[in-house]
Amino acid sequence: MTTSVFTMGYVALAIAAIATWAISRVRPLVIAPFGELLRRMLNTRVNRIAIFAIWWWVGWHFFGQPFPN
Amino acid sequence: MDVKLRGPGLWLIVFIGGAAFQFWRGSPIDTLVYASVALLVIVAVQERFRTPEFRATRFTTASSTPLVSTLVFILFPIHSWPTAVFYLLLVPVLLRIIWQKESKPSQGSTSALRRSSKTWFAVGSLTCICELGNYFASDITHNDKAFPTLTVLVDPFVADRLGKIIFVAVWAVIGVGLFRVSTAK
Repeated sequence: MTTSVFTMGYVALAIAAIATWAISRVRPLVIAPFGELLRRMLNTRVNRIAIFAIWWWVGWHFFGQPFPN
Repeated sequence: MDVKLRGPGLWLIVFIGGAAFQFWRGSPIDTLVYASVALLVIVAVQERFRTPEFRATRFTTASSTPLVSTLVFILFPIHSWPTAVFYLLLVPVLLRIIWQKESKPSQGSTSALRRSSKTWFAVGSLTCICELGNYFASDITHNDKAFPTLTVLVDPFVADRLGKIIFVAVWAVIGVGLFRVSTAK
């Protein structure tokens, strides 16, 4: 079994993300829903730059670069 | 009391650190992208660059992104110049969206927002640690099957035509969603 602790980490983090999302839907006063957090963050220009840049880069990284990376 | 959510300092660490990492791994284009975003963050916090502020972009303009990106994807192969030009053409559109007037956040549960911010920040940070851990481990052992980065995991999926279509569609829909949230009154 050569699966690394980091790879297991991906699985654990995916489960944690789903659990957080589910809790925020059921108990929004305990953990604010991701959409509300995003809405707050996107009020400021710096956060807009960062979040849109990350989104753009994902598309660029997988599809856009003219040279294979 | 307002909640302080992720200031410019954190984003500068992310993008300058990202630029340094991309430089180290020998990817000049990605280095340039990360460094440009870091520079943009610095410009955005300077008072003298706070104007001009654009009026809100129309939703129909932004929502054409999924259609155009799907069309580009169908017509041209990935990693080709036409797709690269398409992604570069998106940059001025994004800058226009980003440089809209900042709005006052609506009232909400500050403690719930703080908890949400901390939780998602932890998930994001740990994902980056896993990614870096696998990257360095695969680099040392020359075994990216045992230590796959997210790119290695996603590549087989996007190598398939249906997988590519799903990936592009999800990516584009997320972008339109971000646009809707950032322009919501």
